[in-house]
Amino acid sequence: MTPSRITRWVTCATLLLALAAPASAETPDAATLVATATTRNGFGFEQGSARVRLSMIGGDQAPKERVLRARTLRSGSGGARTVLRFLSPSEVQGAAFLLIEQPGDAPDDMHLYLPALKRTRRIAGSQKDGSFMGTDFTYADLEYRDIKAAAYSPVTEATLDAAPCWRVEARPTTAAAGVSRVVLHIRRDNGLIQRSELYGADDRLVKRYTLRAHALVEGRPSPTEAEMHTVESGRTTRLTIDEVDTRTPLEPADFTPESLSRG
Amino acid sequence: MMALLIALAAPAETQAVARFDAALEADLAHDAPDEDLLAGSTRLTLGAETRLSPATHLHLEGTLRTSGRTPSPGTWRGLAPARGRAEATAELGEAWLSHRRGPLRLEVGQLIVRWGVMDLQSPNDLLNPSDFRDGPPRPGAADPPTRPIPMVRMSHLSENLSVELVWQPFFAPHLGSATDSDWAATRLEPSLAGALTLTDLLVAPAASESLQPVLLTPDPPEAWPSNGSAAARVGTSGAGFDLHAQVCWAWDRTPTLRVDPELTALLVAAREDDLATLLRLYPRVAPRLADGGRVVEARHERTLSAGVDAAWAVDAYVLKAEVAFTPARTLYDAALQPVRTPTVAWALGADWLDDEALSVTLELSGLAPTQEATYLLFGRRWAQAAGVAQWRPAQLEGVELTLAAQHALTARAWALAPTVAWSPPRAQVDALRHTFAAGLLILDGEAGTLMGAFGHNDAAHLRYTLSL
Repeated sequence: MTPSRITRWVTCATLLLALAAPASAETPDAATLVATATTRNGFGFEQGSARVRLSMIGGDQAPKERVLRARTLRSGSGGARTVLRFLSPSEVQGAAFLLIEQPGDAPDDMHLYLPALKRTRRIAGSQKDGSFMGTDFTYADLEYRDIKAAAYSPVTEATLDAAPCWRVEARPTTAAAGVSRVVLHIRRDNGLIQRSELYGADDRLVKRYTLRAHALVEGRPSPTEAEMHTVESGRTTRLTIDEVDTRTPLEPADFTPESLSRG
Repeated sequence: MMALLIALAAPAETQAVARFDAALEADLAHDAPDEDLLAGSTRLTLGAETRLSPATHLHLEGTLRTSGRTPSPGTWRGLAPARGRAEATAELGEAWLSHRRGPLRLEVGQLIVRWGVMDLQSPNDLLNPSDFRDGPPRPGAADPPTRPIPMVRMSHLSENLSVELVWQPFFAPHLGSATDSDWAATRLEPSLAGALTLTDLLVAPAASESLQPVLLTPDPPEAWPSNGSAAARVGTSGAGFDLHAQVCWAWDRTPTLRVDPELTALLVAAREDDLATLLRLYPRVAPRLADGGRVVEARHERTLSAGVDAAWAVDAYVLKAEVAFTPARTLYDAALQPVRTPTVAWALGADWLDDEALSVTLELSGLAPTQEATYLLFGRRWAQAAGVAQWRPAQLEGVELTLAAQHALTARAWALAPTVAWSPPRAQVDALRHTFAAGLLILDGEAGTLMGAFGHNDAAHLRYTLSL
């Protein structure tokens, strides 16, 4: 069980499920919840852009922050394409990352533009466990397909932070996942994940995701602030999303490896 | 300044860059004549990129650069006077305007366009000239010494196919130093270096520096549209692979130099300690050297290049391959005579990344001229292995260790460049970032190789970088 794999699972189970599950009065099927989530991109919309601020605080390391512009578009072949372009701080400014989801079991394609090299590099699929530009997120965190490979408990009702939720437990079926289970609390009023808890192979709590704030963005519920806490290191990554724009049309040409170097 | 004004005037969607570098390099061996014992340089780079409209971007960047060097007291055979040097230059960096409409992209301005998939030695990275003023690229250098030059790039990008067309209206040579630094091109040939020092002694101090334009960029092609260069690249990306093919119709940036026969005889005499010939020929050649006369005739030749490169993601690795064929490429034989020969340049490589802590790149590359000869720097064939490993120890926050190495496979030649860098944690995330680095450059090789020619340039360096 490596930290990167833990991060992978937590973020897959939170960032991506969080935004997509539809609200429903009836108890939904767990697999349907997950399947619905994974048919959308990581930011919960078919196409659009948002500014994302990642703040890493706590633990025994100095605070870090990354600000990036995320753009995503569902491609003609069905998979989502996401471009993350770093705005600050200076050591990562100008770097850009492209994630192209591949259908079926094929590994997703990833490309990284490094302004110091003036070159776009392909990133190997197995390098997804590596940290993404010094953040707590791995390249794999930008995917969500892995959560399909899990067995789900029946969905039950629960109340969390005074919010009615659906509770579902996912047990990954892939040995490489490195986690034993993920407990999700999904808000019944808007389908957002209120909390996600990841347990390690020894069934101890490893990480916890918590939704801190949400709002209607262009008519749909979206998280505006959330945080991920790592129990062992005491470190927390705070995620703030603003300037969401799902209406300005995006061009497929902006989601190609050759476009990464072009602002 | 312009970049800063734009950054200040455009509040939204503008990214400003400010960076200051200061470096000090000390020669470790000073085992060659007229060496630079201590070299210092600073670079202040200011830039901004702004979105003028949803479809139009403007990027401006400029650098103020200073450098200075102190020579060693020892000179060629103790004859020529030692001298220090200092210079300051202001340079326009990348400066371009881009516009997009649907799948079409148009970029106009001073650009850097890097093709190919290799990080360390890319046969298909041909479009921009290099800047060798501070010597050849250091092993594993992350910041390639590439010059932005005027060009127009038009692209058609779609999900699975990209087409790029580039037109460069003017010829732009490599930048370098011919005579006045430890990395001067003339130091590739000991007798030539000796003759230049002799020129300084007999004609006038620093007289050899007046030869630089003649030696570096003799008779460049006229700045005329018919002398422009054109290139095209087509690529496709699929599940786990990228494949590109390209063709360039450009100028060979290595000139074909033909040296005055009497100067050649003089160089041979200097190499062979033939004092009688030296004294007989020098009075005849010296005046031509002194007034920058036609002791060297040179021209750049048109050249065609076709190349293919690919990258595959296989498990934890990215495997890379490149090959380029040039029907006529300018090389020099061991007698310093230019040879135009069909040449294949190739490279194979792999990248490996383990979390953010460790990354490794290994590349093999080579040059295979089809015309039989022993070539300056390359021998009959050239192949080398190069690699760079970067490690950020989890226990040492802000520390980055880099080890870069290069080893010839067809000759005895190698280079090693370990570096340690440290960026202290910042109290606030938007505070200035300071980075301190220290490193070594150690290189050696047999005569006729690049590492051998510059083997006396072993050095230790300190570097400070401030970025905003």
